[in-house]
Amino acid sequence: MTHSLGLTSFEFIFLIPIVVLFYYLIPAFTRQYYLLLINLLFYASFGYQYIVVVIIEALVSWGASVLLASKDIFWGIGDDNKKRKLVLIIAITLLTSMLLFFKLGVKFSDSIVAPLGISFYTLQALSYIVDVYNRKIEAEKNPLKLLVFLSFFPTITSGPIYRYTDFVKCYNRNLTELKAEYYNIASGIIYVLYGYFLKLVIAERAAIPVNYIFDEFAPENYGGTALAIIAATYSVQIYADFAGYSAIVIGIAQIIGYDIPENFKAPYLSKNIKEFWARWHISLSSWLKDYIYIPLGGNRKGKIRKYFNIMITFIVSGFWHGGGLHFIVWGALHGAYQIIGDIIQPLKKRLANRMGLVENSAFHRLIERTVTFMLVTIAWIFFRTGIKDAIRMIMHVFLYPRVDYLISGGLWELGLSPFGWIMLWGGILVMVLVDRLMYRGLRIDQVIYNQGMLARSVSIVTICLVILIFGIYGDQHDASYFVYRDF
Amino acid sequence: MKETFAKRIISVLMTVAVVIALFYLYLPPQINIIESMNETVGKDRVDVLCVGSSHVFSGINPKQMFDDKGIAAYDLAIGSQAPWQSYYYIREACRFQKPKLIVFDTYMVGASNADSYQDYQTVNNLLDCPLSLNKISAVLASKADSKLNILLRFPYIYDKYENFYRLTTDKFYGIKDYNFGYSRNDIIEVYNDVEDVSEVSEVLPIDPKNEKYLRLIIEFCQKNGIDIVLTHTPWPCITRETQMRFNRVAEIADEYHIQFLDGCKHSKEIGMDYTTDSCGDGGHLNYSGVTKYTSWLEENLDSRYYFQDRREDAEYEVYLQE
Repeated sequence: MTHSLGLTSFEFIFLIPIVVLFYYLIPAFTRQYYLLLINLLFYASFGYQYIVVVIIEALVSWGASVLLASKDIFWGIGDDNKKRKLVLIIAITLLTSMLLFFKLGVKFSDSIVAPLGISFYTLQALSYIVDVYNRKIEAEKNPLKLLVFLSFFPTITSGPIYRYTDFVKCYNRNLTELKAEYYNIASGIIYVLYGYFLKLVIAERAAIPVNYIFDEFAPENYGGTALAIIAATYSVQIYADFAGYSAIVIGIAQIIGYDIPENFKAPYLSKNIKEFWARWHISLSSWLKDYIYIPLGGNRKGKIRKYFNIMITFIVSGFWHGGGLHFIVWGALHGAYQIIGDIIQPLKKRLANRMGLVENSAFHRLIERTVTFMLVTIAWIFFRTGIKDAIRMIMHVFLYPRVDYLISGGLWELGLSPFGWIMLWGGILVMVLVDRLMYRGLRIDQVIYNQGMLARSVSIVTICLVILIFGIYGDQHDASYFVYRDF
Repeated sequence: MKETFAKRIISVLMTVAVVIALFYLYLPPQINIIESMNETVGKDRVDVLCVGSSHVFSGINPKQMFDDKGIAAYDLAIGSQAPWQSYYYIREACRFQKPKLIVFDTYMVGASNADSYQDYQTVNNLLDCPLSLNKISAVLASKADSKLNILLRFPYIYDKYENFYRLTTDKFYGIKDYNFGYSRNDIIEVYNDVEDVSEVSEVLPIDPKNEKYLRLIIEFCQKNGIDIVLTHTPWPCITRETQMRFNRVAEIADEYHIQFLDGCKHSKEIGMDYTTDSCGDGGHLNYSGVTKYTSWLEENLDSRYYFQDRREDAEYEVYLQE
């Protein structure tokens, strides 16, 4: 059995500096081969057989893009446009079939194991082919480059979904010009550490009471208020887990000269669902917008069609996250939120005016953010558990608040001690403060970097110490599981 | 202030040094049984080193050996100590002690017929050992999921933030143990219908890795001029099939011309009564059982080996402590 190089494994943390050191020491023109080797070794640590799948997808993508760029597809026989469309359809079918085979196959057979990250790199492959078809990018003649793109080790297991245009810019530059930039490395390290803080101090800690409630599901044993707090804690867990992972991979990619666009931009500070999806899992939501919503017609074909397109897009998103019906309900809920939000927008404005709320005042923003967070949290309940259990839980929250359960210290019986809760809330406070910076377009590593050398050193030492002392990991605790790895 | 290249390098090195220092300082200290042995009896004092799993620390009473025969013995044992770990412990202990005889209990050699590397306790047994070539060899011999975690003791040993209140550089410390490694248990767990294995003569092979390390232990002792005796502490859960593997241990002992004292085969001679002599917990002996077995062991060792009577030796006063 291979020992996987999960991002929180000691082997990974130990090996990464060595990998980076060699990356900068070797001649620039060899970096592509070195990176390919590292990518494949990293992926192989999760299972040797997985490499075959990513190689096949790379070859399908390359073959399709070469044909699409060719002047003489099928020896000049037939209409060019039709032929190009045929190639596109065949390629999309092949790639989507592979994805569906694994995603659905695991439900019907124990012998089928879905390759880690297939949902992510398949979307990358699809976006590449469609962009070549639409002539937004040139077809890549070098299949190795495409393989490096799809198997890029920081992003292969759980994204972000890298676009080929972003990747190839950095790839070409790194082959010739890349030097070890102090800024890239120092701020990359800070961002990676922040990612570990989110994952190990907040997400792993939040998971304790969340799993306690959801694993042995009996909402009638707990007060509705406690359940509401747990639901909100799950919202925190999934965000800290995924944003933490994203920060780690973006930081590592930055260290080796690859600029991956931000995947999260303070989503829980959003004032409405539409804004939420512009800030949450941005790489996926922008992919869905570019390759599902807009091709369906977007908002160009009237309101009814727009709402239909929104709903389809979110249902696809739900399905992408998992084949279970509850994921589709989760997606549909968000679709419904957006549609309803759009419809009642004039009503909301009139209501706000009637109540004397100044638009965009601090209080007004607070209400909007709170309502948005509540709606998102309700939807997350369906994401976390089955439909029936989710409905039961929501009903309990509203029908049986049982504040007395909370007052009598019920929260302390959910696996986390009072001090553990204090640490969790402390971590959340730090996360919110950092998010406020992100909301204004400032990334925490850049802010710290700009304070100077001493601040940088002190910050790094402090974050390391906080992770060391307050992180949840260790013997018999598996911190290698990232929530989004399942997709 | 302009950040020159030199200033940046210094800043980086200092940051890394501080992080590593804090990481090391904050590692919780761990009790190391070899350190405890050295703390208790002193270096180069142990004449008979008893090595093995919980069947040693719950089966052999060094204090009794001292009181009865003046033998300075010590139980260097830890729960589920796999044979490849015993090899490491023996090598490491021999850096600080010069035993005349090593009594190696073969419970884990014969009874665990699979590499017990996956056992949580087995892997964790390595955590109490300081970093050394022996430890590196032992970790590499294991099939632990993360060898690096064990070597660096991080994050294996950490599970609660409370562990970090002690800042110390002494990571592997010993505590005085006036039971000399023995763990007394007075509970009585009744075992009826214990299988009589005294007549079992068939042989079954033992796990290849266990056999390999058994041979390495024997060869290490012989190469370093240390006598070695293999033992099999009597226990009530023995079965015919398991006894067949211990018969293989007996064959290996014969190969090397060393003694194998099989307590299970000679349980009648020892006077074992499993209705009164066991404390349960998978077949460990209680104080009554230990007294009988230790007496039998002493007699067998006394008949073949000479041990200086340390009862009047001032350097061994520690054995007189109650």
